[in-house]
Amino acid sequence: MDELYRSELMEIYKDPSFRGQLNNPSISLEKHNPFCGDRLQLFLQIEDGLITDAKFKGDMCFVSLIGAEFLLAEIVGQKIAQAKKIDQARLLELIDLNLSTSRVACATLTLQALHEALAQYERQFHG
Amino acid sequence: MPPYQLGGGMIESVTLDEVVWADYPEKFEAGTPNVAGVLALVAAINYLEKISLTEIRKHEIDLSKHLLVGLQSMKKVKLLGEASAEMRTGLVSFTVEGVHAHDLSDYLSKNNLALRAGFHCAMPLHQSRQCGATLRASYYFYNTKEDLDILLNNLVKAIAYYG
Repeated sequence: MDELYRSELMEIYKDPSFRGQLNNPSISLEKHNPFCGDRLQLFLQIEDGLITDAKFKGDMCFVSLIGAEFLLAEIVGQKIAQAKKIDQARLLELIDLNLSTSRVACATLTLQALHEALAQYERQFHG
Repeated sequence: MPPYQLGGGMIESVTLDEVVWADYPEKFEAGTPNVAGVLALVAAINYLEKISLTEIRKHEIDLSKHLLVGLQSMKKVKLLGEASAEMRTGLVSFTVEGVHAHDLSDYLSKNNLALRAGFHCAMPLHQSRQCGATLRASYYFYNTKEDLDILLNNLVKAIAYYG
């Protein structure tokens, strides 16, 4: 991997912008990666169908954390409908890491949590 | 009792309507036996006996002692299990505080060090220890103390990199 890009990701890893939690989130969801024990909790603030804020917390590896950071940077400010369209291919394109199959699961842990959280939110409030 | 698997060399006769099985044990030995595998196993046993199993075990214990001392001197490393070198086979599992096992194995693999990271097909054991993914270093008679020093040095670098 390009060392410059790697060092940029390292800066994100050491000082992530979206790590934390929201006090009164519209929805929060916990997700586990059974292959490595990663635990993630995702918090979303949603107003009038717009994702206005998002945070995550948990014990995560470098790849999981980078996946979370890129995904949340992408969805904050987006409509739910737009966020739902982000799939694995799009996220992998965003983070641009050459990943082995087993680590794709790390990269997409937050994406799975996002899809589940949005589905749960829609069931709760518009079901 | 019908055979569980079908293949060559297990019948007396076959017609479109019926099969007459060969006598035991051929009835249950479908296909060609793994002759090459058997010969390779003999060669492997001869090879190990030539080196001497006692010598191999002695070397393995020496390596375990060397690695355990090295790992125990690193503040952030936590060993799984308290077995002495004499009570171990050639492997040590451990975690590093604040750095994920998969990140460490990634880093180490780029330096030609192959360590297993994850639950090692033993998730309940990890749950009982209340830990996530762990790293496992394994070594054998073809490894040397120098190999383990390379591992320890790279582990220090990996911890500094992610820490």
